[in-house]
Amino acid sequence: MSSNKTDPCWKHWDQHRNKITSNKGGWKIGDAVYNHGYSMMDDLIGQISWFQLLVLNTTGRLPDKNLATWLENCFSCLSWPDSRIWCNQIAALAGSVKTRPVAAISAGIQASDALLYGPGVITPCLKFIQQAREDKDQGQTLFELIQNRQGNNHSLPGFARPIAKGDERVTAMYRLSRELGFEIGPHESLALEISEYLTIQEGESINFGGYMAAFLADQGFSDPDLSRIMALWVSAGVHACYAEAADNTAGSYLPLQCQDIIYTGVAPRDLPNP
Amino acid sequence: MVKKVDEHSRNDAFCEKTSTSIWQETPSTTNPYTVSEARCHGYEHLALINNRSYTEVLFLMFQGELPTPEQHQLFEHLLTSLIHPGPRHNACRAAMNAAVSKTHVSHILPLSLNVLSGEQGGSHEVFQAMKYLQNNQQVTPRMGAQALTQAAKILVAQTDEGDIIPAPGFGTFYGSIDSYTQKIADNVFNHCSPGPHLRWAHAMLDGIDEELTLSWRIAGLAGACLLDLGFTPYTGELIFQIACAPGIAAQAAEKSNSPITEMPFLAEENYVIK
Repeated sequence: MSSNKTDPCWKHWDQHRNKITSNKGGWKIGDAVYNHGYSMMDDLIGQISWFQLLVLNTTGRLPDKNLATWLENCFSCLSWPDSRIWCNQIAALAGSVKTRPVAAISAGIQASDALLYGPGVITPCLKFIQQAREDKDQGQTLFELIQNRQGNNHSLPGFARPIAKGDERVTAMYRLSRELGFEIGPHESLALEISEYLTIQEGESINFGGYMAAFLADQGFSDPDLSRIMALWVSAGVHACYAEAADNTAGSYLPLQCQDIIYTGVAPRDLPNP
Repeated sequence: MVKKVDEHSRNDAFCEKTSTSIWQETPSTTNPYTVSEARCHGYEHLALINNRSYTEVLFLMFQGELPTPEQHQLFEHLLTSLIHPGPRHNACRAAMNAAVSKTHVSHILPLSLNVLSGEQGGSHEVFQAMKYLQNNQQVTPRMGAQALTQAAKILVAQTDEGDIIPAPGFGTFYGSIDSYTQKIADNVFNHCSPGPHLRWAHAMLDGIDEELTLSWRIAGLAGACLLDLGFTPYTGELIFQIACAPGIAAQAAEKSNSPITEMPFLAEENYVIK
């Protein structure tokens, strides 16, 4: 921690006391707002999209417009206005008790950081496809790759999904990838190979998280950058479901009678004497 | 086009250090970042841990003094009254939905408290109820009842659906009186010493035309208790959120190991797209 034996053990914290050192940029009053060296008002506003700015601010890398368009469509793919989806339902429940928009949307976004869907799947999906590619380069077969990962719990990040089999978003984004001129890279290629194998063996296939992770791994993205970029992935769907519930009469979103909750606990009993 | 704006700092006199009268940390002699003693409003933290209840220290934290025996009794009753908003409350449903969909556990309580923050059935109704009670303390309960009755009759004429809430914290609940909140209110009156806000609201409700089926809503009862305990609307809303957190968290914990199918997912035929 400390380079000099005479330095106190808290020297590191003292160096940061009352001081911010940023590589990101900031506001120099009367001069400019800087984002990774670009002057926001002179170089960025009106010239790059919000998604380009999001990636620039998060990673320091300014992506080209095609990659930003791909990412924007990727966000759209997770923004269904269906309040049965868990994160959307949470925003709808919030709307139905007249919670303020920012609190409701934040609640939906937080819910989406889950192991079954949303940004919470990115890390395992990326890890799997990156490791699988390394293992394949080392000579492992497709069968071995899958068996090694599935182990005892049969979980394969990026493949299969809750509620339904198959994933129409993969087809749409695969088409968009080609329309935007992206070649199929090694991660995407391997992910599609595994998907075909699973379809034949188990009737399962790649899900959107798996496809997204593989495609973006080919574009040079990795964790934690990718998890940070995708944090608001589901937001437009959450917005929709909150807005509708908030517009409706309070309490009218899926109201429950007492009997709609099944009690399974112990029977009524008296409190013991103190 | 305006190229440059004459932008200059206002040179506001920001304080150099944060101040607080709540918590005092005395640095240890060996490292100025670590604590040798902590005090809450002057009382040593360790002495509070060993000699006072959580309820008393929570009161002390916000009010600056330990509660009197009467205040302690009322605060304890209030906190236990609010400990579970019920499994049908939208905040609990949000918590359970997030739990089964495997949302990261760190997000469960924050997202559920966001849902709890609503202004109809949530914490902001408590804030508004406290404002209403404060603003009406100079009015007799009889006049308060007349104003509420008049407002309710206008709302009944104007409203086709949903609850009639002529004042925050006072109105119908699922179209009728809130019988369980009435029981909790009776319990508070039977076991604690009600202060002026509880007595005013009780007398005011006594003067309401029975046909209107207006009653305490939980926000009104909580708000009146909190005002009698010396809390402001701002601190009252915060206390309400703290008080409801245990029940919400427990509902999520119960579902944490359950599959996604342990919460309803509305069937296709019941999801109607207009």
